[in-house]
Amino acid sequence: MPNVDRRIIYIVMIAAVVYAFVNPMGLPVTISDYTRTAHAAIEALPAGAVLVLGMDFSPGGIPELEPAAKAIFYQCMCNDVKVVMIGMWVMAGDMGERVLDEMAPLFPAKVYGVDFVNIGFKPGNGLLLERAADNIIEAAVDVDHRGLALSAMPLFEQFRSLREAAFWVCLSTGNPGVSDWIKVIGDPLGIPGTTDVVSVSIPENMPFVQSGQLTGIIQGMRGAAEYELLVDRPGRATAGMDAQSLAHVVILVFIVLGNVAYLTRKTRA
Amino acid sequence: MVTNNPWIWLAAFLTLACYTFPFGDNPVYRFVEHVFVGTSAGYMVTANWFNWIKPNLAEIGNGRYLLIVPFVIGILIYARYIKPIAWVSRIAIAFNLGVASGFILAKDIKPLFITQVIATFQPLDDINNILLVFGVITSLIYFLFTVEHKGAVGVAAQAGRWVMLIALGAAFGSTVMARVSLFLGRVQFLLSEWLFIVK
Repeated sequence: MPNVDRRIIYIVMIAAVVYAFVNPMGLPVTISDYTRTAHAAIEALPAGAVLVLGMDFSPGGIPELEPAAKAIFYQCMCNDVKVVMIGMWVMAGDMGERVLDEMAPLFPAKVYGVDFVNIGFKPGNGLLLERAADNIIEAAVDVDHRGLALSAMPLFEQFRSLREAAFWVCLSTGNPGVSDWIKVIGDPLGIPGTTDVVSVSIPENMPFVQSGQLTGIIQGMRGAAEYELLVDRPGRATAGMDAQSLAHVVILVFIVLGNVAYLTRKTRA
Repeated sequence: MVTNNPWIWLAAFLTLACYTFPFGDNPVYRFVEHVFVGTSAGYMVTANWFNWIKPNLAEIGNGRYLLIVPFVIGILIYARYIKPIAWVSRIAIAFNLGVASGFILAKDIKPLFITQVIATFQPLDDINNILLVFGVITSLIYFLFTVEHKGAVGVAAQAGRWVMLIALGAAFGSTVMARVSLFLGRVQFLLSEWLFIVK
């Protein structure tokens, strides 16, 4: 067992995941307090408020972060909350467009530039946020991801800087990411916010939840599934929960078998 | 039934080609790896040009001549390719380092250090708070190198070591979960958008 060919592990894993997708078991998804807190904070935003979505991820983060981005956008549109997407990651604009491609058609009455906008990628990391906290149009050089002038959009007649945001959500795969939002926008300006991070980043971001610098946290694909259920629109993350559970069981079984084999060999020696 | 969208077919091929690597290094994987590096570099250049450089150049054309200063500083970085004036590129690097250092010093200390320290001062009326304070104190004692780890200090340091091992275990578990999620994302794509086996 300790010398099992790794290809066998891969094949078992692939089989388990495909089986779970093809034969959904409908395992229950319990909603954590962290996700509930984030959802409740966004739900409490008044109509007309602006929520800023930090699209700080690349395609590697799509399975874990995009479902939550869609669910949050859906929730905002349902509650007449305006959404401004901006990102410090180079693919932020296209990540935003993927969300809009699927979600915007659900709200035909909502208009680009009035109810939501995708500014897209702008370089500068924390300095970008610092500049946008003073003047978002100048920080973005007055151009969005689609090449349109921000200054011509009705949304930016009222919303001139990140200081006027009611809430922010950083969808983050790493750095630059949530720590930049906390140190430039959340902490100094007192604007509440939360994050949806990939699973690998959960432990390093939990201290910000405990300190109150984040209003809850959406934890990877699991958190995204919880959020989808909270907005009553199950999507890809919810569909992936059976497969994720089964994949984890496979890993646990291999860890147990490996240790049993190791201990058995040690006892015999 | 499968999709007739050629882009989905291309994406499916690239995905499957990536997953050939666990079964041994091979030319198909190498090809996809090179395609990825090339397209990433091209994407980055294009995104920076259209999102940043081009609109800023237009602003200079509109009379914001102050933008010429950062533009020139940025251009200096390319001096490194001309040996006699390669030293000039250090001006751009020094400028970047200076700005970044100043920004970090001004912005990081309060939210990322002081607030975090304050957040550990918790009333010991809750098991979570007790664990938090215990973990912080014992972990700090583990890194107390000016006192020999013997007696009570040794026990606390050992406890701190265990606390950190548990934290590392949690971090590793999260890493596994993240990698599994990535794999699930691709399998979901193959089964739904390519093969139409699941919705």
